Parts: sequence; structure tokens; C-alpha cells
Amino acid sequence: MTDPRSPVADWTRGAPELLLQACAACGHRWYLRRPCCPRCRAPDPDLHPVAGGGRLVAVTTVHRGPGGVDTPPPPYTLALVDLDDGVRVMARCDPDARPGDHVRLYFPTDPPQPHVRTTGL
Amino acid sequence: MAYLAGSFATAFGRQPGRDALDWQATAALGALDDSGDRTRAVDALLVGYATTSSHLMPGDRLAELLGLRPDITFGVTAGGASGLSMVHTAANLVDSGQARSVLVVAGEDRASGQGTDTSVATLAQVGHREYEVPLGATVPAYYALLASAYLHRRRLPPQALAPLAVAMRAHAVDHPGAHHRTPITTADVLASRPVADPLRLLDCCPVSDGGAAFLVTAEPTDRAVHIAGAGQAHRHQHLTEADFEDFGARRAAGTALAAAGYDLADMQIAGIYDSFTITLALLLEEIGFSRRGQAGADAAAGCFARDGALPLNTHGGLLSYGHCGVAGGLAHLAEVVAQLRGEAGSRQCADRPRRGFVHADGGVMSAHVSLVLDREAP
Repeated sequence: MTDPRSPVADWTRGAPELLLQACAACGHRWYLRRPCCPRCRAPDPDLHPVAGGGRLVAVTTVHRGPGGVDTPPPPYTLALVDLDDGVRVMARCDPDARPGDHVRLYFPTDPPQPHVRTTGL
Repeated sequence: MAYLAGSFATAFGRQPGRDALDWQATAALGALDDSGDRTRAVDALLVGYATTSSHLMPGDRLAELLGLRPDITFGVTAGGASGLSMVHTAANLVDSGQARSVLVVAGEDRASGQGTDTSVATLAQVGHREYEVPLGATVPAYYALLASAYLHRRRLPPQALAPLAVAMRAHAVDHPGAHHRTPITTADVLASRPVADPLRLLDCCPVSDGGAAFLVTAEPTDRAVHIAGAGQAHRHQHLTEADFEDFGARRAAGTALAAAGYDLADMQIAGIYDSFTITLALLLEEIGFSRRGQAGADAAAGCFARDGALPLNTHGGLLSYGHCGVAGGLAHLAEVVAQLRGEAGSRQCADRPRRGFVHADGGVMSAHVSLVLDREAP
């Protein structure tokens, strides 16, 4: 199990952090972890923290969840967020958030999961 | 040249008493009987996966059961696109000369073989195991996010998709094999239980038991339908990576139409995957049957009715005929074949169509397969 304090750990490994990957060869950036760049397949992509700001693309409040011990009971709200850093991520959000809202990432839970809250901007 | 010489779909619904293998066998025998000779040799057998029965060798297992000894057999797993993907591969096997008859089969006891919670949890695994699933995402949630983005982007109210569900149910009323046959109204859709906003229960297909199978042959028969063209596209797996303006449906459709030598406007009937109302809207619009943002309005205006400009899913679609897994997307093909043959009974389009289009998608608008079919007038 990767030490959550190691620089490569993100929220999927227990660290309250969301990281993007970037290709030094072609400059492409993405979120879902890969062993190589999906655009040019150069190896050893870099990992970067994100600034945290973004815009909501989509929001849904789930009324029937997948069940299981690891998921809190519904209702809960999911969002797709276009981060200012140029990647799209899925996160939890408040039920009154709407597509188009400006938001910011935060990690209020333990174990950490990405949440976004609406900002004034 | 490859032909659909046998075509069969069972009734779909909650029908306990058969397991996945039973449904596959029932469907396979139905297609062989429909082809006119269940004793015929079959050179290749393709079998779609079943979530209730993860056998490592579904082709060999079914071949043995039915007394088939194919030179080629294997299982196929591409989500909801598996069925049409198998028909595409079957056509390729025939066109290459490696097979003269190919049986394509799917069947699953998805409703009776496992609890709904198990179904929901299993299917949620089309999402990203680390970056999406742990957030509590489900298949309806992925499609609800697509619907949220669509309604916002196209500046549509939440009720914009409901007419698609109404249209599908109106068709199912006339099919004795459909899972749900009671007519519904837009008000019924909007009053149904929320599943994942903005999708409500009637925006979502049911979970059903059933099967479907086809015999693809090198030789036409008097009832055969010609597979004029096929195309696919696979751009992403996970919702987070999808390009909402270009999922891959247009590419798949374009490849199939070009192979067939037709334009979209030549299509007289369609079977389009409709796991949710939003799925149907996105596919209709990306392929080009409806203008962007207009699929719901087109449904409300009767464009997709039996006597409309483009009869669509005249069996009721996944939304009302039902969804039993891989066979779900194949029921659209069986219905278009029936219409082209003039065998759709009370559902028959009065002007018997001669050219049809069928499309399936797997995952979260991830895997796309299009088929173009034609049949000469007698």
C-alpha cells in the first residue's frame, strides 16, 4: 500500500489531494491514471497538484446507490467538473449546485474524497 | 455478402425459471427454427456475456449443449454493444469466406438470477474503479450526469426527455413480448420515482430476463435481410473522458452507411439503443436523425411513431420491451428485421420499409456499433 504521504499519493490512496498527469514530451494533461501519455504514449508522465478551481459541467443527486458498505446511504450528489487546470474530474458536491457554477475542490471527509463547493465567482 | 437468415427474440420480462444458459439455448433454437432448419450445420458460434453467469468458455459450452461443432466459437464482451458487435463479426466471417453460417446468441436471467442491488453494483463497474465508482456512482448516475449536461447545454427544461419514454411505451403496447405494456403519459414520467436527477424511473429501462439470436449466412433465403454495412467506434471508456459532442456514434454510423452506399436520409426505420431517455436523445442527435436538442420534441411531434417520418424502436425499445443484457440491444435488430420482412403484425409500418438502421452503445456512450440493413421488395 503506497504511503499516503508519498508525493504520488492522491485521494484514491488516502491523501487529501487530487493530482493530474502531464506529458513532458507533448504537453498533454489528463486525470485518470495511466502508465503513459494517451496522446503520444511517451512513458513516465509527471504528476501535478491542481489549483482547485473549476466549473460544473453536470450535477446529479443519486437516490438509489450501488449499496455496499463503502458507500454512504443516498441521497448524495455527484458532479463532473472542468478544472481550470484543463482536466475533467468527478467529485461530490452540494445538492443545490448547478451546471455552470464556479466551484473549488476540497476534501472534507476521511478517508478523503474530492468535493466541490460553489464559490462566489 | 452476408444475410440475416434467422432472427429471434424471446419475450422480455420478469420470467423466473431459466438461467442464462437456458435463455441462450432457447434463443439459439428460435433463430435456427426461424431460418427454416434447426438441423443445419453452424460454422461459427458467437455468444454474448451474461452478468449472472461468468463462464470462461460460453461458446464451447453452448455449442456442446445444442449439438453444434463450430470451427470457430468464442464469447464477446463489449457492454451493451456486444450484440451488434457479434453480428458485425459474423458478417466479417462470412465475407472472408471462413464461415457460411454464423449463429449469434445472447441470453440472461438478469432480473431473476440476482437481486437488483447486485445488478446495480455489477453494472456500476463500467465506471472507473478508483476515480468514479468509490464516489457512489451507478450507471443511472453516469447517464444522469450526461442528462444534466445535455439539458444545460441545450437550454432545455427537465421534462424535455419524457416524450421519448412515452413514445417507446406506446410502441410496446402493441408487442405481446414487451416487459411493460401499459401506456404512459409525460405526466406519468415526471411523477415517477427519482433515480438520479434528472432521470426518473420511467426514464430508465427495466431489468428483464430474456434472449435473442440470429443466423448470419452467406446464402440469402426468401426471408433473409441483407447486412449492407457495419461500423464501429470506441473513443473512451469512462464518463470523465467522454467528448460530449462526439461520443463515437456518428463515426460508427458514417462507416456503416458508407459501406452500404446509403445516406442517413435513405433510412426508413431505425432501432437505436435506449437504455435511458438521454441515451436515445444523444444517439439520435449525434447520428443526425434529430437536430441537437430536438429529439424529445421530435418524439412529442410523432416523428418516431409507426406512421411517422422515422419509425423508431417499434417493439418498445429497451425502455419498454426490456433489457436483459446483451440480448437487449439485439431486440432492436429483431424488430427492424421483422419490419423489413413485413412480419411485424399489428406493429407493421404500412409502407413496408426496405432500408433500416440499428445502433447500440455499451458502457457510458463508450462503445458504438451501427448496422445498415436492406431488403428488396418482393
